[in-house]
Amino acid sequence: MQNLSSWLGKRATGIYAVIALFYMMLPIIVVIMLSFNKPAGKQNTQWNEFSLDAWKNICRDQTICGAVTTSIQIAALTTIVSTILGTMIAFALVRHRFRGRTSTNLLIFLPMATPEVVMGTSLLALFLNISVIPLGFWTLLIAHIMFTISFVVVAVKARLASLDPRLEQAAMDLYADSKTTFRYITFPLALPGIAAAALLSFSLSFDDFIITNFNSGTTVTFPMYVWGAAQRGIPPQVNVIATIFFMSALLLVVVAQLVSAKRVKR
Amino acid sequence: MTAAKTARDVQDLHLVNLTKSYFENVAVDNLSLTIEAGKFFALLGPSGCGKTTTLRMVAGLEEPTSGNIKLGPRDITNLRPYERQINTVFQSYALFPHMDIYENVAFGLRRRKDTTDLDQRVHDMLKLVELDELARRKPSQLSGGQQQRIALARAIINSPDVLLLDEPLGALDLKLRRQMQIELKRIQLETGITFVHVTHDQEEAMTMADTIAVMNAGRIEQMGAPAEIYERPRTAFVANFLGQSNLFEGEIQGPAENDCLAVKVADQTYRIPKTATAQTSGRVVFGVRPEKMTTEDVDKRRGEYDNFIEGVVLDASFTGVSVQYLVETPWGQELTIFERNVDVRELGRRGEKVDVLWRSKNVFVLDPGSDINDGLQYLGEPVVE
Repeated sequence: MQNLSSWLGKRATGIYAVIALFYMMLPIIVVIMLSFNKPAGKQNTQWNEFSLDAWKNICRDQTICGAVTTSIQIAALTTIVSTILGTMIAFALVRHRFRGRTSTNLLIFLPMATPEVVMGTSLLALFLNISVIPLGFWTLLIAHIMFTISFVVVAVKARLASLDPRLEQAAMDLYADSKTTFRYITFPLALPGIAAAALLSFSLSFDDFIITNFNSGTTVTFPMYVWGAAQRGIPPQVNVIATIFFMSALLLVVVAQLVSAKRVKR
Repeated sequence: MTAAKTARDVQDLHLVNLTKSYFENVAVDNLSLTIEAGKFFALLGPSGCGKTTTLRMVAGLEEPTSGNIKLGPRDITNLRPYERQINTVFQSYALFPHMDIYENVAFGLRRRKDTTDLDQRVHDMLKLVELDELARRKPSQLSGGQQQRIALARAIINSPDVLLLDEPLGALDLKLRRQMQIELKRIQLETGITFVHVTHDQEEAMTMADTIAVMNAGRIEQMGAPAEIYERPRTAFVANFLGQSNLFEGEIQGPAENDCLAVKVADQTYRIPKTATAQTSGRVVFGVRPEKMTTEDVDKRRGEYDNFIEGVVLDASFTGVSVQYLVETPWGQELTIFERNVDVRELGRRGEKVDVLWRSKNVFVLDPGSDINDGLQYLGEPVVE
């Protein structure tokens, strides 16, 4: 008894961590498992039989792959535009004092604080009223850029604020003009923040349902497809795609870890 | 390296009526001085006296409100930092964290496209600071002292006309600081580069510099060789900030024997050398350094000295090499005396009456109108900022 409690005492944190991780990972494990399932009926919620059917025929239902392609296109374009614009805004806010700086800071926070339903409906009202662009791919892109840009600004701003201004002064002191200083010092040091912001805006855009649902017109994104399919029964192909995305994200993290570990060793 | 230095003749640095103000605050007030080429120059003063601002103006990182900076005959006041043959060692070192040590040191040469024998020169420089084996490490993997030496190497590899050092040893512990002081002096002699060293540590300034300028409130109080300003401070600020002093205020009575002047302080008369002042009458402020005073039993050795005060011991502390006395004069002033631990006299007790003795040749006289308390507020200020 004495031994057991001291054993537990020493390992309590470890045991707690394992349980917590397991709890967080459980839904993902279920999703991955069910991608190898051969569902008995329409709903893919109960384990029936192991099969690679879904993995072999991801695009059997054409609309799935169409939806995924649309989502990737929108997410990629959103990421490029909002990362560039957001980074520029962050630089302006951190490095320069100008009239309206404080209000810009506040406005940047608003899209994050506004409920998505509100933003979705007001964007819809806007697009219907100006009626220059029909609802669809382009309205989605505009909406996504709009709400991801705040996240980019916040992420890059945090990175820039922690950047020692003396590093840039040291570069200038060592014969680097403003452009060269930006290229060799400021940009490489801000890069981790910018990369994190880009990843964040990609996943936010890929994931978004509420705003997208209001402004999509006839365009179908992946989350919308899943939502629609849920009524009839989600095919295991959805699990396959989810698994692929999860694995890619995991791979990215592992590679990043390995690269930084190698750098430290050197 | 040394050859390159002699081929291009080094230039004196001139600051002419340099002023920097932030709104109403004057950080540097009409400062003029010449820093001789190839010398180790120290700007010494308490924090906030304008020494770092002065340095940053020379580096080009601050714009002067008025005045000029000249390198030899050339006016560099309005040049951008990267257009000046001047490099800086920052207080925080400011090593580029994403580059390894080699790339940090090579940065300046690469920017100037001066890459002949780059590899050789970088390794030579790393050898000079004795860190060649760490060339491929990142700055975060180095200790404070090592980072400091890399910051130095990164600056002097460019053979600048002037090297600016902004409290470079401030973050190091005492032992390492002493070691780096010797190292810095060696590198300065080897390279022949003009060093301008900003510090608030008077011992550091005196150990390394050929010339010290003591700064206070944006102005230069006094400039000269370390021994010169220590032995003959002209203002109360210098007397109190650079080491400690016992300062007296008195009225000149007239000439005395041995080329001295008799000065009346309270109701006692003391002697100051005629050569130490241009004054022949009126109010005078003079001082004696604590180590030039000694204590003795009352009336025992008054004949060997030409000045004495009979006082009361307030405190005596034994520090090993010396005994530090605090003695109260009859008129209520506290004197500090550092007595060398040679002539073993019994340690004075609190309340005991003693003679405080000194010779008039060790007296210095301050500029007329000095306030004897000026600069006292910095006494006991922590050395590390």
